[in-house]
Amino acid sequence: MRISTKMMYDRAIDNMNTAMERVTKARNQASNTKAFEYISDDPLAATQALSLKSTLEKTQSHLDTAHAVDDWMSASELAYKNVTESVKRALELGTGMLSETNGPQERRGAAIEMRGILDEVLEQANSNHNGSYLFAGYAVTTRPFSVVGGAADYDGDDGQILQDLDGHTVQMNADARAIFEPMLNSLNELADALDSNVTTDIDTAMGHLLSATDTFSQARTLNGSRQRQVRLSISNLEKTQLELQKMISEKEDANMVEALSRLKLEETAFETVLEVEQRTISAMNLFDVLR
Amino acid sequence: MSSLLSGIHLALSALQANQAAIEVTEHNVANASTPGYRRQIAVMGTGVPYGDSEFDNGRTGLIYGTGSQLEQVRRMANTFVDARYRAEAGDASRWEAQSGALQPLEAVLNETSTSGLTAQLDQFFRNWQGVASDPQNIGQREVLLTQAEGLTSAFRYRAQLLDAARRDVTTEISHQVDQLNELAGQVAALNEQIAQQAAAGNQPNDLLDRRDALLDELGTLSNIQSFQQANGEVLVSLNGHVLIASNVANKLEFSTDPTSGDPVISWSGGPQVQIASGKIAGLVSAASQTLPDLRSNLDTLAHDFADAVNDLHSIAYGLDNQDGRPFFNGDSASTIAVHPDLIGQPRRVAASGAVDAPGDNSAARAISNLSTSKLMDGGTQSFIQYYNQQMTRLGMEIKTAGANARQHQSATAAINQQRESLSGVSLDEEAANMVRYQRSYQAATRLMTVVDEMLDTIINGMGVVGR
Repeated sequence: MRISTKMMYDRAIDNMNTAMERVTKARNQASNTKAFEYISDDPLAATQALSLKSTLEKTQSHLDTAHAVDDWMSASELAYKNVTESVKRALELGTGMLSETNGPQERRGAAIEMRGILDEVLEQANSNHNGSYLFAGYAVTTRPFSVVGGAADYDGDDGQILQDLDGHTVQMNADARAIFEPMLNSLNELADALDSNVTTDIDTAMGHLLSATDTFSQARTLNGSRQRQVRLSISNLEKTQLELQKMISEKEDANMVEALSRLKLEETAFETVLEVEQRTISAMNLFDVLR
Repeated sequence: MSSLLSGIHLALSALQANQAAIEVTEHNVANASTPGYRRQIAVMGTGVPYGDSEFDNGRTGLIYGTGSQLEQVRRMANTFVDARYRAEAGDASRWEAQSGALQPLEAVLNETSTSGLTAQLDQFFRNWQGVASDPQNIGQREVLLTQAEGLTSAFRYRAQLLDAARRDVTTEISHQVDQLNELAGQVAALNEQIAQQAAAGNQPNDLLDRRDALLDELGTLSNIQSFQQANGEVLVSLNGHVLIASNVANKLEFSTDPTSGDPVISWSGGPQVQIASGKIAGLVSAASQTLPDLRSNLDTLAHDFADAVNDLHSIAYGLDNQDGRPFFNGDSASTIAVHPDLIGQPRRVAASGAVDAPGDNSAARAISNLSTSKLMDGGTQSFIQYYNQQMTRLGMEIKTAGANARQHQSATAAINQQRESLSGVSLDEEAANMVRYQRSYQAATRLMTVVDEMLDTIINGMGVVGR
């Protein structure tokens, strides 16, 4: 093929430009530490990375919710625990006062203590977590329980607060009315019975308190079970989060060893091209030789 | 019979022919780097011979040569290779233009970063999840509203970007159409000059070079086809319609469709023309397909997204126990905004499904779950998937355009090498030619000297005996 002078120069310039482009690309990748900068650099990997990031965002969102639910349930568990201890004392007291050896004075003293226990339980029933009442259904800004005229009054509602975790829904709150109303009523009944000094009334009230305690224990157990489920979700979500981050990194991040090796290779190639093409450009032609 | 005087004429013809050939060589050397220059070669030929009449009496006459002459200065060009070059260059320009029109957009949209619309949509739904996990939390509601304002701003920004990009590309098309008309006019003017020169028996090689360079440039703008005419003119057609005939160039006009905003190129006072190749084709593709599609799909996303959120929000209750408030205003990417009733009013964010139920998070959960609801593209994609698909399509189009451009650039370079191989100047070759013609010139001058001496012998040396 006949080679014209312009062909030689054009080819030399093209080769240098191509080598420069490759070096620039390798430098960008090495300094950005990213396998691609724009979607067009690698559409498949970029699309997958975007999709994974969305999933990661959703996972993080569920994780935040799961922690919030766990906190709520922990606060609930604390209330349950305190109530359980208070009720245990109430049962001991009530059982003791059933004995005929206790007279009206002892029983009145016990009634006073019982009302103290009632107040403790009432306080727990109105527990607050981050400004929201734990046992009020949806009416989280309304103090749910009061004892009016000897009867427990519930001002909350029956709303079930649900939260979405990864692939399933969990109820965060308890059926407060069903748990605390019998408890408060039976404590109040027991206090009245102790005040009245009627053994059969005390016995009846104790029966009601035991029944309320069973219901309460079941609710506590249910809370515990749900909380275990939430904590398992947290564990799974954290593992998923790590896995997703790893996958995103595999898609997005440049293999630095590879990037640096390629940079070195392209720089060496560029230097070689410069060396070769400078010879081409400065090559003599016949005019230089002829006298 | 030949004479000494004819010998002088012979030597003179050699001197003149070689002198002219050297001039051709000089011209080549001077234009070795001139873009578009086609080397010229001196085609030498013998002069018209004549017969010796003294031998006409039945005997075979001797034929005497009359020296050499420069018969032609041939321009080394190949119209077939030129046509192939223009076709490939046109395709390369088409894809380069398309890629060039779209690539800056990708850089500005920057969807792979945390400021991309995908990331902002993700954050929006995450903030709703945050409200759902603690509906009472005013701080969480404020975060939601602030981020939602950022999200709508991102929509509007992208709408503006796409509109501006389309405007810019459309303006560029107008400029390129003007450029095409200008080039066509220049080719038509050259046609006239070349035809005149050819009619006078001249060889307007430099004018032909200039015209070919203009045709090359036209080829990068559009899918022209050129046909050499016997009188030296070139007929240029575009999509089967005459663009240049003789010294007349038909003009193209540019306008935009009042409804769609698409660029429209038509013959002056005539039908529309679909340019299939060249820079103009690439720009038209970007302006009439890619950019409007992106814009339209962005509007669809903004509209459907706002509708879906509003449908749930307007039937839900805020902490003020009011319902009926949409979350977003506007129904397109350029108008979407957080409803002014909500700005600075976090309590009005409707997370609850019932009145007097501040702990009810059902509406917030429902809105958050929109992130995975398949409400786009006939119920097959979520909002985020839909937008990702648009960006992936854009990325693929840029990548494909770039790959096609490189492929056609390689082909163009290969054909250009063929052209250069035929038409390019080799300084080595010209140096050798120069030496050749120089030596021939020197020999001719020697010849002249010999004849001169011979004449001198006759004129000054004969008939002097006894003087």
